[in-house]
Amino acid sequence: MRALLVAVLALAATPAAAWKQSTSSDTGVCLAWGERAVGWSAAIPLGGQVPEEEALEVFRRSFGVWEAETCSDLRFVEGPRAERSTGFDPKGANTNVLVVRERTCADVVPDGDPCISRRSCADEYDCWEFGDGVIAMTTVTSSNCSGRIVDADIEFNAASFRFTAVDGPRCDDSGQSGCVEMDLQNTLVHEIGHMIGLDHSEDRNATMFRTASPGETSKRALAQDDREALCAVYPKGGPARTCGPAASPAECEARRQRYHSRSGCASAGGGGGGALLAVFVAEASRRLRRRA
Amino acid sequence: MFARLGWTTALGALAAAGAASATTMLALSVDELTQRSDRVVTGRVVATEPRPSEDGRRISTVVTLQIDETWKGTPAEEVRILAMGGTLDGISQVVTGAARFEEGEEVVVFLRRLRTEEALFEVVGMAQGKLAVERDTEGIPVAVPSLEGLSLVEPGKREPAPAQLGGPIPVAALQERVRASTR
Repeated sequence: MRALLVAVLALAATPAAAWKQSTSSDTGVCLAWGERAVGWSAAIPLGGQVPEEEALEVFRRSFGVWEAETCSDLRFVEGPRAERSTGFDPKGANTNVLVVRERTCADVVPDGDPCISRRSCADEYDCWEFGDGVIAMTTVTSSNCSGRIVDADIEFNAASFRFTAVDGPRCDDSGQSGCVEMDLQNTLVHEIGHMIGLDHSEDRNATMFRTASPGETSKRALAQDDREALCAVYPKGGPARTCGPAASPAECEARRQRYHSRSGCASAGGGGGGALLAVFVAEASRRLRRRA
Repeated sequence: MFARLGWTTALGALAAAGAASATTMLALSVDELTQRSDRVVTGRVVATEPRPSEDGRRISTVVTLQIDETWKGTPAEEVRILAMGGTLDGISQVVTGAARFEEGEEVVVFLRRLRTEEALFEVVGMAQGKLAVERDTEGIPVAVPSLEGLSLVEPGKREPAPAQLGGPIPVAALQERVRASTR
């Protein structure tokens, strides 16, 4: 009885994990990268008010924050500068792009333009299309069979917000200099969490907590809850965490066959579960391209 | 995704902070959403259809909603909503903070007309503009917000904004708030 009491007290003293893994929109399978070296590329030109070299340093520091945890072997690889286009690249050469948008689509896209009904104005007009109240946006593309992430792009809304990359007091008004308005690293460290498959945490101290405020810099670094999330999802030497109702290899194969029957492609062959899922992702990518 | 609350909403939230009432905070947020909407309706999702962009890089979802009631705007039998993200042939694209819909789901939505030739709407305020309708233990319909993936920032203030639609509200109470803000 005493042992039970001790156990109960120990459990009660241990804070419950508040972090959460993102899930696929339809199947609910948890999202994670399959590989441990995740690439990223800054768009060229990057855009925004922060001088480009300073912004790039902020980007490197932000990814470094997530890399610094020794319990995980997740790494980020800076790639060559990329075009200012986002979304899932159907050609398969996916680049995880960071881009700063400087004008809103509402200001530059004519009424009735077909891009509006296809949600493709951002790239066609190089504009921000997520609404003026949104500061930054991460779009994550994944296989809904395996939950494996195949692309993640981060966009910043510099059309409506002034990003800063300085240490200093919080700005009193938007015209002040040498102060912190929307801190670039504070924003990016959070968005990188989404990029690697994390959802919002219930822990108010976590970088992945849903709210932030102008002048805030506390999310430049990870909190304990964020570290626990990283280490649980990408444990050093272990496979990425999976959860939720992942489709069985048989179901994924059936979808792959349906794709083949519609597209008339020759079968790529089967293989083990993991290999099969990877093949399926590639096949679906081709289908998207073909539709385009 | 981080998002900012509108000034009116944020100031309203501050005014209500002393009461610390989720319902009051929700009502204020509903006012803001209503003002930005062309239509506010209740209904059931009867179809979802993925729609890739021309270059295949982005996936959206056209959601067909069979309307039960129109609280604001022109009454109609159904409305088509262009939602961000979706799934096409096994590829899922998630736009963090955007409203998600499931077939069969009963919802209250705040909608703005898109500048398209076909009659398409978008959800106002990302995930803030969609509430799922559920039944409480007494069978009373309640509207349940889901801010999954949506981060909120309060402009000009030095504290994080509380979740404006942080808890369920009876549908009848929500309807009254919408109608009050349109008068």
